[in-house]
Amino acid sequence: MKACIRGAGAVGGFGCGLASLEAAMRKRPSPDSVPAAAGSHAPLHAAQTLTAETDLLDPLIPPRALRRVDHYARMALLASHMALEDARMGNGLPENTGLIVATGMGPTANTLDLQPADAAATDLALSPILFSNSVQNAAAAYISMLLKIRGPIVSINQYEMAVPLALQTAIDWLEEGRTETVLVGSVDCLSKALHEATLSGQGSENGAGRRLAYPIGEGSAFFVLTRPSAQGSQCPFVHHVLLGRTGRTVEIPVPATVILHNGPIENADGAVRPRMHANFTHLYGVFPTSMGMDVAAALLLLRADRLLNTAVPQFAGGPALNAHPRIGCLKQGETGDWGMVVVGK
Amino acid sequence: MNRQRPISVSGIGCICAAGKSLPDCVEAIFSDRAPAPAPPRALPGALHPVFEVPDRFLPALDSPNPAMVRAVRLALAAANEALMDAGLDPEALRHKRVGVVIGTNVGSGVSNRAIQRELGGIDCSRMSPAERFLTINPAYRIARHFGLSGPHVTVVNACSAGGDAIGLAGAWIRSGRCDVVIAGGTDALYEVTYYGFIALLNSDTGACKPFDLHRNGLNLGEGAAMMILESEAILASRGKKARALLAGYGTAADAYHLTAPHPEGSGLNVAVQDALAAAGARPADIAFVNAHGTGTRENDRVESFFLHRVFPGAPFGSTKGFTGHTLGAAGAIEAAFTIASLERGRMPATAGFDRPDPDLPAHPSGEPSKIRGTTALTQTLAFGGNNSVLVFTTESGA
Repeated sequence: MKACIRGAGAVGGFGCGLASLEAAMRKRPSPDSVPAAAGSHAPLHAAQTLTAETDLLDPLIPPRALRRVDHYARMALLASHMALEDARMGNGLPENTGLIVATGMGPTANTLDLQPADAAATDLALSPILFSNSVQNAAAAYISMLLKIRGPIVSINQYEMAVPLALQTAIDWLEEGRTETVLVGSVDCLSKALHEATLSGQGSENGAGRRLAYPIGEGSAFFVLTRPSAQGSQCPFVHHVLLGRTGRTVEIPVPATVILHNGPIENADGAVRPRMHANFTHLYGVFPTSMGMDVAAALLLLRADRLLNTAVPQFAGGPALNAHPRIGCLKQGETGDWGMVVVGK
Repeated sequence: MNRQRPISVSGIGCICAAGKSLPDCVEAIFSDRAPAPAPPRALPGALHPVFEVPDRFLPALDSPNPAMVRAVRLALAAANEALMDAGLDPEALRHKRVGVVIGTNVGSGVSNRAIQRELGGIDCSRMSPAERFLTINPAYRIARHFGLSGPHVTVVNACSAGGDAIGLAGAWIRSGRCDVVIAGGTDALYEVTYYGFIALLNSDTGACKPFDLHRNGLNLGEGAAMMILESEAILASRGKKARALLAGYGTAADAYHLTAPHPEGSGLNVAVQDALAAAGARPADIAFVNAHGTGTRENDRVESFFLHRVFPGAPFGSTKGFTGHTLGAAGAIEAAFTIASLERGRMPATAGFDRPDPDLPAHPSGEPSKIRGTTALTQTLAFGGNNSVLVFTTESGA
């Protein structure tokens, strides 16, 4: 079953909201902010990071309710709020709206687990708030509480494959009638652990001044999904979610455009042969669940009917998409797993 | 919620403080031989007792396989038992579409300290955080251990994660995405959760007393339980019968409080009604309810009122006095106990329950008791207001 995308919201290094992301995508990338060619490692200093601001959340939620919410959950809350606004559900949600939160590193990367390995256990003088914010489903808990989402709820943590697994779970819920509407998205927070993980993933050593292809980022992207209906016939869709392992044979419906997150796309089984490919990672950076940003960018490409100013040189300038575009958002994990989310009209 | 096609459970494995296998655990909980909780061995000076899995329960590691933390070892022990119980050769799984869905709390953080301690002799500072993460991610590790190519996901719904993992796995079979899914929960004791629950004033300084007048908090525990969910076609082709059926799954959020359940159990009610609807069952069909029953004052109060209202007169109990609260594993361990109880036609005593609380409308049994029927329900209430409910049926009671 395909799922209708009724709304989207995103916050990241580009700013806050789809309009900010679209504005960034319409700008021509500066030569020193993107790789010279897909898959190559052009100059960007290892320390370069793209961080997200969440000030826009403050007028939306009463301060008392926000006072214990950390940056990780604030990003997720803000992206969720914007997705519901985009879906025109800001003033009232269907009763059994579901919630799925995907993360690669979770909140602990930024809090408790970065304590030195040799610290004595008794040094753990935990505050209830710090402990609560370290629990892996903290972001989902805050979204549910503050946006009054009372339907099915799940948090998943599968490193770089968390986004496709979350979207697949949302489609499962819609298909089996568990809910009619799902708010599904991803969040990861910049931290020492994420910084090191990303450096490692890009073949560089920790903070040693080596240069990377992309900046390290953080952010959150959320989507409101429903079952397809006549009412939503103009909405874009999630057509497929595909998961696999490099070296295994799978059938991939070849999309017209692939948004490439990292590495040459031929690595994904040699099965993906797109006519065009695009990359906007320079706008939000690399982090485990940055595929969520790719999906948001894909929606904007569908709205614009063109590639906009991708960082891929041969498609710079934004050629038009075909009449029935399918955009595959591909994530190739460090572990040999890959996932692809295919969106289209 | 529509009625769902039930999914076959062909094998079960379990390891916790009560025993190193499901038969051992069942023997312990029905003979009322509850292991006594004790201060954690790894935390000198810590006073709040826990239910630790004795090291002798853990199978020896395949050598060389050093990068296996305790939560993964527990999960692997339970998965191996479940596969054996199902009569499935792990080698044969490589040729099937086999998924892995595992709930956990600890097995998803990025802890230097926990990994370094557990992987004695290995300097985790030389591992990238990505490697550290994947070393402790139980779904990834189990999938790689058995050479499985299907989807794998780690569910981090706090205390309801194990039950949610089994519920989500059912959808993977129902949709045809997988032929077989290894599903369950695992968690190991960990100083962050240990001191965190103390900080929340939720830990008892003695043995926990679910639903008791003098209940004063939970005891943490550790363990794992795994189920083999299998498509009808695969099961039939093997000439096997299901041990039980996963008939219904419900999940819903309270949207109320970070650490306290909704006072009327509003999310729990939605999850229970969804699970019953999915199973095509009525409350009167439920032979017994395996309650979350942590021993905290508020959880047990909410559950007692809820069970009295929705399942009037139905027997219920908590097994946390035998296992401790195993967090991400609890939903799966208690699902395994629920099926084992249906098979026996009896439910275990609620260990630690001695004096009924006169302010509660419904009470568990302090003794093992006979049950009537072939359908039972198990429920977990989690941090953040998650509620997860599973309904199981067996072909016939004992």
